[in-house]
Amino acid sequence: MTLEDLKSEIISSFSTLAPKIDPNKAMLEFNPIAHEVAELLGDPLGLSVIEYINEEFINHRSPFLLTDFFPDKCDIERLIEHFWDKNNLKNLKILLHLYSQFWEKSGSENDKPFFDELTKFGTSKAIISKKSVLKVCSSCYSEISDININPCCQSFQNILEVYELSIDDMVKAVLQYNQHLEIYVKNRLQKNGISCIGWAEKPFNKDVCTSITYQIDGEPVEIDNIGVTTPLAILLIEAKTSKNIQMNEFRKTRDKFDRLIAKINEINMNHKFTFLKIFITTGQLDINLSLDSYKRQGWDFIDRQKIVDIDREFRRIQNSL
Amino acid sequence: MDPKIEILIICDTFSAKKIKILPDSLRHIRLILSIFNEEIIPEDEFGQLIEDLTEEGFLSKLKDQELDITPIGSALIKSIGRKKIGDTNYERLSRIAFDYALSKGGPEFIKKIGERLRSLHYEKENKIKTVDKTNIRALGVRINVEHVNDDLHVSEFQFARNHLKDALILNREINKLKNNLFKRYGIPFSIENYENLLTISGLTPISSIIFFNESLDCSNKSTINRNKIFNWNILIVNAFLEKYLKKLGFISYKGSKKFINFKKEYVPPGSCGLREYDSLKLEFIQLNEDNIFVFIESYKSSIYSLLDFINICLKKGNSIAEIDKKILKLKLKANPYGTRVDIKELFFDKNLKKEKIPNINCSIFDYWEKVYGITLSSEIQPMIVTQNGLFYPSEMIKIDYNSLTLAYGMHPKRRPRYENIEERYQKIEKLLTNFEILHDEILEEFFTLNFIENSSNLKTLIDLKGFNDLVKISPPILEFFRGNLSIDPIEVFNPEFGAYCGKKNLTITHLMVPEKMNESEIAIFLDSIQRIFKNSNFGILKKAHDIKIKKFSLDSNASSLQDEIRKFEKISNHDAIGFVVIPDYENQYYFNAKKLFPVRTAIPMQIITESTFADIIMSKFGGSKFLSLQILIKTLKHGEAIWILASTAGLLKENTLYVGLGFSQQPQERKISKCATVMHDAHGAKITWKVFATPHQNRTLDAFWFENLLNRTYDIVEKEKPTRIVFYRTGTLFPIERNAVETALLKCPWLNSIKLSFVSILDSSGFRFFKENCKRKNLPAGYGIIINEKEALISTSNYDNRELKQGTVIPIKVKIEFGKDKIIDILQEYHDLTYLNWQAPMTTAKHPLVVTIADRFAELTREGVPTENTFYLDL
Repeated sequence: MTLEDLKSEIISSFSTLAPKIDPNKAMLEFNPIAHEVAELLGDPLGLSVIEYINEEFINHRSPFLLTDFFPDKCDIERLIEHFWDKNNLKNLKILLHLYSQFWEKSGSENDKPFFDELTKFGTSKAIISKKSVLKVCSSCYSEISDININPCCQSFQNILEVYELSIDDMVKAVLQYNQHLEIYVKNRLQKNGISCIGWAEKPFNKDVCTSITYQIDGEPVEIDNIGVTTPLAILLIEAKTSKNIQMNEFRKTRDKFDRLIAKINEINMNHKFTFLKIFITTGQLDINLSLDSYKRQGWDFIDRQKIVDIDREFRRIQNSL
Repeated sequence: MDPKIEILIICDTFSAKKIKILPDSLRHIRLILSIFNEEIIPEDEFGQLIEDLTEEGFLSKLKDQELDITPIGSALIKSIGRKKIGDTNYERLSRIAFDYALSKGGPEFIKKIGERLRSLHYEKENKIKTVDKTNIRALGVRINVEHVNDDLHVSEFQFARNHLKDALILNREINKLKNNLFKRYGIPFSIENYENLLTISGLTPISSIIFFNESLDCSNKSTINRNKIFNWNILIVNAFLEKYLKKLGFISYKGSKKFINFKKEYVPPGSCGLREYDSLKLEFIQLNEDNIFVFIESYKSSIYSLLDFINICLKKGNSIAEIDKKILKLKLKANPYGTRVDIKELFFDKNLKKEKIPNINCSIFDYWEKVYGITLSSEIQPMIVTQNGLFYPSEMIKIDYNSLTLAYGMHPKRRPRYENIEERYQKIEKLLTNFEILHDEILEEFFTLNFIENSSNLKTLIDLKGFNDLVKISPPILEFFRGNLSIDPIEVFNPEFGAYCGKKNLTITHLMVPEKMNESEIAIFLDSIQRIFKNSNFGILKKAHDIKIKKFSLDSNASSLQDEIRKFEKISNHDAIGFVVIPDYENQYYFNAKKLFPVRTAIPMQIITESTFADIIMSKFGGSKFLSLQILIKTLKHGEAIWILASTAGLLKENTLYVGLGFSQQPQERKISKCATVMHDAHGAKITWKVFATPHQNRTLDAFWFENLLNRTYDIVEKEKPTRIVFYRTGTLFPIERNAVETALLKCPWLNSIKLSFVSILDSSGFRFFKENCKRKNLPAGYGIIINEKEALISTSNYDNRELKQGTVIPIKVKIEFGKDKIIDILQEYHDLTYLNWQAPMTTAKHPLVVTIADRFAELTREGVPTENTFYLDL
């Protein structure tokens, strides 16, 4: 049998398990905005920015503010003090949101790269509108309409213009379904020559590869991504965005994968396929998980720190086969 | 202060500690806010603040009436919280909120806060008390002047305008004229000049005068009511007393209000020949209705005479040529007036009974007897001839102490003989008895002096407008470890209180001892000192495993000690301390160790004298607690404290920064003089200090220097955000200095929004008071006497209460040189700050802590201790 034949056999085996796609998730898989969000994970601070967007702009509905350049922290503090003293709540709140966004919750010690990453998102298709909410001279505190009034206001560096950005609802949906990680994994698998098993369904003209539900002995089992590598091996991938992966959660995945593997092996009595189980998470793995022991049982783990270098991880996995 | 910011700081701390703000904790926030602001925040005001903060979006309402700080509320605190209330206040408030969080809002914590609020309320209610003014008396005499005439003669003289060029010389010439007129007429005159017009007011008209060696004739004559002449009554009484005291043998020293009786001398045992003379210091205050109160301070004036110096040199076997050479290095002054003397010739063993003064047909011996009533101790003694051709017996030549120290390192020791209140009172009584026998026909032609009473009470003096008021200020409440409160600093030794900074874990890394100490003694000392520190409850002092023990030999200039110190290398242990054992009463060892040890090792040093060392190893050292405290103070870091004031000094509402200034007094030649500046907040916490060189060799402030000082305080002002700064300095602020300060302030616009006060501390006034309640006792600490809107006196010593009898308490005079503060506020806060007497918890201090430290640093640097060594508090 050729490699292609074997791949067809694999697909055929999975097809016997009544694969079912989630139309909402499928729609996201082909949405360009969802892809832009997913691809942020390939940037060093992308994951932090996505989490921040999800937490602040989506969950807490805080305004998403951006400026033309990364503002000086001391300037912002002076402006905050000025507007606090003047009891100008409107401007004060804008500046406080900005302060909170860049220096309080960014979680990064170096704020400028976080700003750059946020700006990258702010200039993406995910943004549907941008309006100026504050324009002020950080030197004389005047809210400028005519820059010729004060000489200090003529300096570009002194002018702080704050914009409020509106995010497309699609971003909310992607993050709610955690589709960004699955889409990112799918894209990177394909980029590294690993074909993804997917299923075509109307109205989509392409194969849907993420979050497919299979029936195993009458029970639905959702698999986030399935890849087929050369040399031949089947990659079963679980993609999780929870902050902490507890032992129980991992066990559920392990049981799910074990049942699927058993079922596929049962269907293909003639061939024993190689399965590799990959657990990908943007969170932290439970420290009680004995990773080395699981690795010996055909498991591989890609955690928060490795997400950005997932290409290298996939190459490593392929080389190890 | 900004209560909204304060509430948000508390909420932010709660949020960080995951404390929910439920209705109960909201009530507790009000308590925390009240204790922080040292006043109870009314419930409705607090409620309104919470409502406003919620409406403005800084707090949010959750379910079950729970509140939480919003992200923008938190951002507000993170961005400007510290800046708005100042670093120290921010930390203090956060600490209270943190302690609350730590106790989980437990009843014990709330009870403690409640008690603290109650004591604060009590403190405020009772801070200033009125006292029975008849019990407090001023030490001196009240004199009433009866005038024969109400009008005085005024004689005017025009002098050459070129004499206006130098105000100092002009002033000197006017004083000279005053003395000459007094000598000529036997009555006082008041002299004032307006430009080149000299106005002489007195009891008789003057036709001509000699002024700047020119004879001037009167250009105009008139009369004036005596009430229009400033201090006329004081002038009269002063003239009268000068004549009177001279008859008793007291001669005005340097023309001042100090009088020394050279007739009687004492040579106290152990004083190395230092002679003591009965002396009086007078100070006058004008009362109304022609009354004057004269403060009389009796004391012993100590003088080291040239005769004694020569005798010591002769005993040592110095030749006459050697003595001649030695004397050239000394600064000499002639008794009784203290005039500077430059020797032209020195004659040994002159018979002063035979030696005649040129142009006066009188022997030197008889001259002193006749003119000053002084009987010289010996007829045959060395005699000097001055450059001006004057003859003086060596016994009447006084050697300036500093020149003696500088030239020969000699420090004549004097055990002070303090006079207590009763002794002084009786001396005045004796003077009063003698007053009656005095008759001066010249003066009696114009007025009569009535000696009303010995030591008038304050009610009388206030009624006669001598003083404004008398108040009693209650002691401040002090805060020790973990917020424990007491009014007695001695509680620092009580394990239930302890030092505010908490317990220390210190290490002895160095020990230096004279070579005669043996290994066993050293081992016992090290064990004992560790035990002493442990027993004091200030923490642990342990011996480093690699402790460096060095021995040094005793030599004339402590060179062995210096050599051994130079072998040390810097260490980086921040909790290390070294000990240096030196011979008793040896300044050479003391200052050499102070100069070298800290800079070489980078650690603080505690000096132990040999006698203390011996007492420690024999377990009979009585000052263990105080030695432990000394060690603790030396290891304090910037911002740490031994105890603090639980409420702001003087219970003032302002966020005040206190700055103490200390100068190197009498800076040595060719050495840059140093200034120390010490700062702390209104509670005495967050103490910081800096020592830096002053550009000039004098003690007066100049604009450059003060600007430099202000710039050095900039960082702290930026951090602490004080609304008020009080500068304290000992000594008078001269007009030239006032101008300098004003000029410097103009260059610091960042101080514009801050209230500034400059307070001079004058502790050399002759004002003495006592409390009479069956017995005559010192005025206890806390009695404040308001002189006027800018000046007041404060008794800061609690010696009597502690049964530490040390003579008569000298009240401190505080003077607002500039600033808009009320004198009562200045007095209250000064009083409270004297309770930060860390180095001696048994007593209150004369000066605020910032001044004590600044003066100490300035003194150390004057002795050549490098500025780099002032990294620790060497009190």
